[in-house]
Amino acid sequence: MFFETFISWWHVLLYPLPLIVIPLAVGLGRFVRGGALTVLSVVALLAFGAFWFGMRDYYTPTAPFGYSPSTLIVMFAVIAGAPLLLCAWTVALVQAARRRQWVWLTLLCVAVYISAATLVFFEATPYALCLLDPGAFCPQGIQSGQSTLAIFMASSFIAPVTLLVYSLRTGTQRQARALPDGLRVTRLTTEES
Amino acid sequence: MFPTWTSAALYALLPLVVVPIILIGRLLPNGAITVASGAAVIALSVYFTFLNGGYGLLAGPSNLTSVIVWLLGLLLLFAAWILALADAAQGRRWRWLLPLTLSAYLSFCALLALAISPDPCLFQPGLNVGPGGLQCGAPDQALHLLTLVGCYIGALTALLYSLRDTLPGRAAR
Repeated sequence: MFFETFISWWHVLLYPLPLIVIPLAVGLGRFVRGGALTVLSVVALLAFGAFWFGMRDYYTPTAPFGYSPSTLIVMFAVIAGAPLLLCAWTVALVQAARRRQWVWLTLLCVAVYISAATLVFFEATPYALCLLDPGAFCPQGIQSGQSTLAIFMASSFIAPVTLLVYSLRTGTQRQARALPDGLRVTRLTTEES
Repeated sequence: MFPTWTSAALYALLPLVVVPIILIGRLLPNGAITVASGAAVIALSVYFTFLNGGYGLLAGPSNLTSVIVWLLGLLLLFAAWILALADAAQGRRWRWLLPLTLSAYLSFCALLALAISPDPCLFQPGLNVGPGGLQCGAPDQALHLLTLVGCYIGALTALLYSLRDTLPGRAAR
């Protein structure tokens, strides 16, 4: 019902705008060790950092669910961060599959799964409210605490950190340029007489 | 608490759909882009054909299948877009970057419009809206068509990019 009240066509055009950072990151990746993967991972890390930074005073009595600066930071961090993570992961998977690095491929999948599950759980449940606002009424079994919050934060950072490590470890060799359109490499064969 | 963890764990499985796409794509030249964009088109077609568009699925009560298929379409669109972008940048095919970015942006806008329903009358003529029980009239056909085309255009542009060498006009040169 929240969306039915506040969403207009302008919102629809504005919300995907942070995604423009993705082509910029891909372009910037040409000048960086590890390529686009490094840039995408770093920007995803920054976006996740912004997400947790904005979450600090997201649930306050003064502006609960209003458009406070923290709300905007959290919104844009999620809009940019989650797709950035997905894009970095996709690029890393293609590289790992091409180089037959099956251990890395498995590690990347597990890391992304852990981070995705953490973020989904944190955003879709009242758990976030209970962890961040000690005064909130919380269901039994959920206790606010810095240690639990630290575990959530660490879990969300697992995927971008793993992606960054992968890109820096495997990105030492500069990738060969792709062939121009219409050209492709084929195996040389000898004609039998 | 346990069921919430379970549903979060299940929703987090959705991005893993990219893994088989990439593994299948290894068998073809530009395969990952072709398979990801083709799968995105299929997911969107299933969404529109069998799930009736699921308009406003994030704004009100909606069935789980609609949400999952919509999310799959979105994930596959992201995968196809980033793979095409990275390939175009690596191959210095700069003229492809703008169409790929613009079309993907339009698709994200259209998919978002489908999900959060800025105009509830667009896909559901006759719907009662507002506190006074006003009834929707005929939908704006141009806007309706634009939203539909917008949903597909990102995936189709990525598909076109991946198949550019096999198009008849290119092969004749």
